[in-house]
Amino acid sequence: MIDNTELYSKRVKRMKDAIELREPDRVPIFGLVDNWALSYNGTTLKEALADIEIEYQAYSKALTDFPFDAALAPGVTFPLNFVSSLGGGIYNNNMETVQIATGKSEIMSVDEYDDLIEDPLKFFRDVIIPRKHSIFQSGTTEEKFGKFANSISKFLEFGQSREMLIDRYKVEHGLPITTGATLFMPADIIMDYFRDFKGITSDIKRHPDKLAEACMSMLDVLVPYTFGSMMGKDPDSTYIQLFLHLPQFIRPKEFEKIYWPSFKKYINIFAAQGFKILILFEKNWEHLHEYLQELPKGSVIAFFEEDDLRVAKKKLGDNICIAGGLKTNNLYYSSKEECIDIAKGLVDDLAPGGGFVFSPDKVLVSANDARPENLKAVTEFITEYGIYK
Amino acid sequence: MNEMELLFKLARENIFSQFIESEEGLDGIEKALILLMTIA
Repeated sequence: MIDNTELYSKRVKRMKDAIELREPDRVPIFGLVDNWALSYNGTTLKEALADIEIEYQAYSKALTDFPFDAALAPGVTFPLNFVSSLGGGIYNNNMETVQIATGKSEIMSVDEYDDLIEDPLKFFRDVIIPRKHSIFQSGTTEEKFGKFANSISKFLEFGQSREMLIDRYKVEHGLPITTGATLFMPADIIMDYFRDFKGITSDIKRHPDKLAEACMSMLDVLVPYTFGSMMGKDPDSTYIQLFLHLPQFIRPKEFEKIYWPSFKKYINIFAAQGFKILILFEKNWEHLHEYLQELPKGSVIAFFEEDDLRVAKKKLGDNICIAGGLKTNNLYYSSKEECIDIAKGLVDDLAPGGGFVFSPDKVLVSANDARPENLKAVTEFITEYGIYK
Repeated sequence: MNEMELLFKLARENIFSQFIESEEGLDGIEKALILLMTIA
């Protein structure tokens, strides 16, 4: 019987071969799973946040009941206890999934772009953080430091617990958890955390030069942060993970001016260092494929939510590994047989030549993102039908 | 030195320095904390 060390190495190689555009032994299956793990196990978010062993029980059940070759995260993906200790941030902790509360993210005015451009780290620390987190908004400096020290203990606890969980998956299940550095690109940070959708939409039209300059300047923070997060980690099993939001809403010319220069520069820096970059392209990116053709060869695994994967493979498959395929709608509403038919078609059309990883089209978050019996049926089908001959 | 700068300096000297020795390491964890607090 294969032991966990050997299983782990086999899975890492399977993923690596696909990302580097070779044919692996079979089509890899990626566990794009987040809070769905909790509902699958009958665990609440509150219970998971209160006890790491309960969190591990829930996530390890979801990540090992199905034959995944790798998975996105070892547990709850955001440090909600840390955020809560700061005063709550922009998250709504009363939900069963991690959700951003609306109307809380326009905290920077348009006339502050110059300050952001001049020194992004200082701007984050001195302007954004005290505006956002209530522990810095009242009391003496000594009182503030007392609360801040408590928050720092939660921050350190989260980092240490993720490393411990990742190691447990490796040792106990032979399962690679790919999370290394998890990050957003500059324009997405500006939209989601500084200017909100309304603000950035206006900035794209009225202040595109400032916005583009701010995006480039923010790389001064994001690049060292990423190097720090990836330090000492195996680049074959641990990826830089990016979640991209804004481009689904903007036209190619706007993308080219505002988003693409800093995004491309970031990707090229890390691809040149041998890192693998997992990118979740939210919604539809077909209007931007022309740009994505310039992404470096063999470094990127691209999860597309709404793009036609057959078109994506044809246009982008020479450079990047295409991932995704089975819609959460099908995983929940269709029959097992229908799901298997779809999976068969995906393997037939996308697997030849390598560079394809099978997964749901979106991160599984809530209970109605997938029925377990459907997920079980398609993943087990892939382990047999997806073998390269 | 403004108050936020002071708070991060105190964190560096009183908390992070207990388990990180190098200036580079201290810079790294401080930047990670600032970035995470920014996107929280």
